[in-house]
Amino acid sequence: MYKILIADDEPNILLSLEFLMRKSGYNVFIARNGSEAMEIINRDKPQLVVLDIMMPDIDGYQICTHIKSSKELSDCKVVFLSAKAKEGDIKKGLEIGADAYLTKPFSTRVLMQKISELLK
Amino acid sequence: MNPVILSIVFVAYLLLLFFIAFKAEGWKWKGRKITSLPLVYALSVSVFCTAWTFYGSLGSASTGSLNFLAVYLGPTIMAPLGFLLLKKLVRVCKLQQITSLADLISSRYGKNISLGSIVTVCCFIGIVPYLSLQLKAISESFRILGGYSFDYKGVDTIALVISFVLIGFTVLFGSRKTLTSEQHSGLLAAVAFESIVKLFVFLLAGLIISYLAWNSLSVGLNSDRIVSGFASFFKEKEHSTFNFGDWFWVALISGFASILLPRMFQINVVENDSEHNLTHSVWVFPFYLLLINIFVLPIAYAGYLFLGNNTITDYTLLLLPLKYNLPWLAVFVFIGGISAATSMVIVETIALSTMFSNSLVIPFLARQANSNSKISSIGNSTLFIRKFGVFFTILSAYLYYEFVSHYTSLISIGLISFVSVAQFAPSVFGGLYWKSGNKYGALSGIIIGFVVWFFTLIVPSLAQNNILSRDIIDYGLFHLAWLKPNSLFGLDGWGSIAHASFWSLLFNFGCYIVVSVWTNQTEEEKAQAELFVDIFKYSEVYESSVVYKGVAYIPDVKALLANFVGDVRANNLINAFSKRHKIENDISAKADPRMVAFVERTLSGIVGSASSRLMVATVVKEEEVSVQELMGVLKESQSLIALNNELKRKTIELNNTKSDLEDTNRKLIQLDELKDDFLTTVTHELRTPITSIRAFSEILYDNPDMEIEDRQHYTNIITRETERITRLIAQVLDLEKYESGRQKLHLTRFDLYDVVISVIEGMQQLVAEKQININVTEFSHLVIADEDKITQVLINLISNAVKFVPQNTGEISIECSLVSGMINLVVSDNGKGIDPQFHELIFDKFYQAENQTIRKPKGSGLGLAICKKIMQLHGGDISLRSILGQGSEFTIIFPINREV
Repeated sequence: MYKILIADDEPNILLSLEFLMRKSGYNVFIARNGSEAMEIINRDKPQLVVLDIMMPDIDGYQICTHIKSSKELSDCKVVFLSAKAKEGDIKKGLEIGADAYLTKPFSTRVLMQKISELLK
Repeated sequence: MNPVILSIVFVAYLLLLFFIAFKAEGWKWKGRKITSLPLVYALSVSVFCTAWTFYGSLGSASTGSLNFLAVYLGPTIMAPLGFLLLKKLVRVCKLQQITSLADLISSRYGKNISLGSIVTVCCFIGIVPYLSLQLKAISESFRILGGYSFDYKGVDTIALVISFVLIGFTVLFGSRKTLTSEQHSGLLAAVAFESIVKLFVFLLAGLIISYLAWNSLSVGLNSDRIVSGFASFFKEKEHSTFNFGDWFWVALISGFASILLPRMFQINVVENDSEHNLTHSVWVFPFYLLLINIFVLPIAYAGYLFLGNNTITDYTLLLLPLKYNLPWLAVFVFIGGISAATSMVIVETIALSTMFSNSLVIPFLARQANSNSKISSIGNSTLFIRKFGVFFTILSAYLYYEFVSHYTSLISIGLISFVSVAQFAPSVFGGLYWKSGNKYGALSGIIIGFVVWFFTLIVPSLAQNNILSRDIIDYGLFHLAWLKPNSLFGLDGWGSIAHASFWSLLFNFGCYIVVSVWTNQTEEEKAQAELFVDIFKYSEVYESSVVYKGVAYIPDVKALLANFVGDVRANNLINAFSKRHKIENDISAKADPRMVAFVERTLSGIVGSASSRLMVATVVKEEEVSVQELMGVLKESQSLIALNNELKRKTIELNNTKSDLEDTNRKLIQLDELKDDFLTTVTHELRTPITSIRAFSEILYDNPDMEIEDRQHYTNIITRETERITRLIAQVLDLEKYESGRQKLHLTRFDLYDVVISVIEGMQQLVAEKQININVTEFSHLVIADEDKITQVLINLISNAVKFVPQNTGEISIECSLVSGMINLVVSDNGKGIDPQFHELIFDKFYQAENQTIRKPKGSGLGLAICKKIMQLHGGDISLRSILGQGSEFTIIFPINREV
């Protein structure tokens, strides 16, 4: 069973994503800010992380960079899910190694599709 | 003392002067030509102080009279007023190339020849005695030092020799050049040097004599006795008590003389190359007068004590050093006397010879000159006429000395001269400030003034010397008692100077005004009157204004000028002028009227305005220019200048507008960027709830078999997120209202405590659910503010606090105090606190979504930004103190009584 971490500071997003992931049969971890996310990533080593960029303490970019630079986490996929929708933001996200970048508001179907593709 | 040595000293001093006069133009001081230094100019104004000052003040003081002081008081009081007068005079004379007092008066009253001649003659009659006084001073001081007797038979050869030396000297000094406004800058330096010499010598002699006198007195005497002796000296000597009338009139005519004496006019106006110089002379001159009078009384007292009563009191300064056996000091004094006398003679004679040639002889010749060859002969003889003028002037002074002034004291002659030149005051001052003054007024005023002067001052002195019958003094003219020269119309008991000044000036002023009012001005006169009185208005446009309406040809005009300045110079002048004004300068062309006017002005500087006008008339087929036409031209030039100024002003305005626009543009760009940020922020804020709504909508749609509980939960979330969007939109609109200034306060008086309590009551349910405590310290402050807006702020702050304090243990406290008229209301909580990095950001409606990846604490939204706007609109502010993990403390302050 794949382990998936959802990191976002907006409770409603967490709630909806958690519902969707569980329904698709993933093992879901929840983080409400950057530092919680880091802790879970280092401890539980999820196969995929759904990351918000703007969070109160550590931002999504830093977390992604951490994942992509760590050997232990080499097969961890990163999906950005952010309200930052400018071209430059997306480009930056992909440049630091994210596997997908979706902008809010997003389609739950596209997201789930993307996740299952990445985990194949 | 050996007369040969004295002669050598005399000649050597003159040679030194000569050296200075000829070399000074090349000397520099701190990079400036010394002849154009303001101080040099200011010192040369002290040519006012002649041998009469140097020796005569002592003569006067020795007879116990303090009246000599009035002679220096007048110019001192006059100095500030004279400054304004002279400024105008200098401007007029520079523009019109006027080079003498006679020319000034003639020029002002329509370039009238007879007026100029009369003024010249009057000046001669008035000044020649004054000049003779200087010869007398040099000659007599020479006699005293050389040990010659005053009682000689026949001709005073010493005075005759001195006269010829001075003639030669003045000719060399003053009549070398004919052109350019008659300035002699070397002369100015020499005169300034003489001013220093005479002051230095007087102060030196004064110090030494005072010291010696004090020393010899102190032996066996105490200082009290000296002082009381000094006082009794005056008591004993004083013939008449202090008379205010005498002082007033002497001061007044001395003040006039300090401007109107030909030599003063020469220095103040003709030799003055910049109006700026006057700002220096206005204080240097009075200061000089003060210094040169400081030792007069002590020396006079010493003379009284040590020379006895029967000496020639005028020469006290010379006799005392001899008495003390200090021959070197006596020689110094002799030199000081020479310097005072020579500077006066030279400058006065130059001024008089200019008048003699330009206002008397040349106009006479010019009137007969109807062809260029005749004018050419005038041109050739100009210098000769001037030299002859010098010769004639000084020789007249000698003859007067020889036959009339032999026995009179120095000071009386000086004052008589002063009264004579004061007769020009009405026409000169009136001419500068009163447009209606005309030539008949000036002519009649000057003539009657002079007649009265002659009758009241000259006639008595002639009678005393037995040249006229004494009857006239005792019984009056034609035995008419009211025509007694010393008590005209029965006016008795005044000093002769006050008496003469009063009557002559009264008749003079009266005639000038009455006759001017009764008679008409010619067009030429009107034009000149306009130019003189409003000179500051016209001086800018003067040169380019056309004053001629006739037809002239350039070769004629050039030839006319060449008669006086030579071909080369004439060519240069005309070429320069045509280049400056972009005038055609073709040999066959008609001369531009401006050029004709220029030539006339240039000639005025050489031969005087009246002659110049006559000569120019020979080459111009002239029609009379009416004053309207002249004024039209002047006004046109003026309006051109005004237009030009207007254009300059407009250009400056445009430049200002341009930079304003650039500023505004910059601000707009900035605002635009801020607007972008704001939009990003707002859209970002909108995206979050929309994201939730979409996600839950899709979940609900894709999962029809969902449990009813979850379904309700999710639809509830969708509703709340919709409300959140609505609230955000309302806030954006609200904020925009504050930004644009459309939000107005509705001020009422209310108790702030009541508002706090009602806000808390509104949140009672929330508080009860979360089981937290709100403590309000009781207070009562009546404030004048917008109750709704303050309520809005309080709701925002308290509900934030409620949101962030922990369940069950949450504590919120509200306190209010009044500090110097300002309400300080503090809402504090024991929540998790706010990271200092957000303290600034939290009240900001933008959080730079562009570069920001750290999120603002949730829920603050735009609420606090609006709170800040509300408090600022109240003239107050909102602030935050918070330590992460230890709670936050929001403070609002605003004036308790905001009167709008």
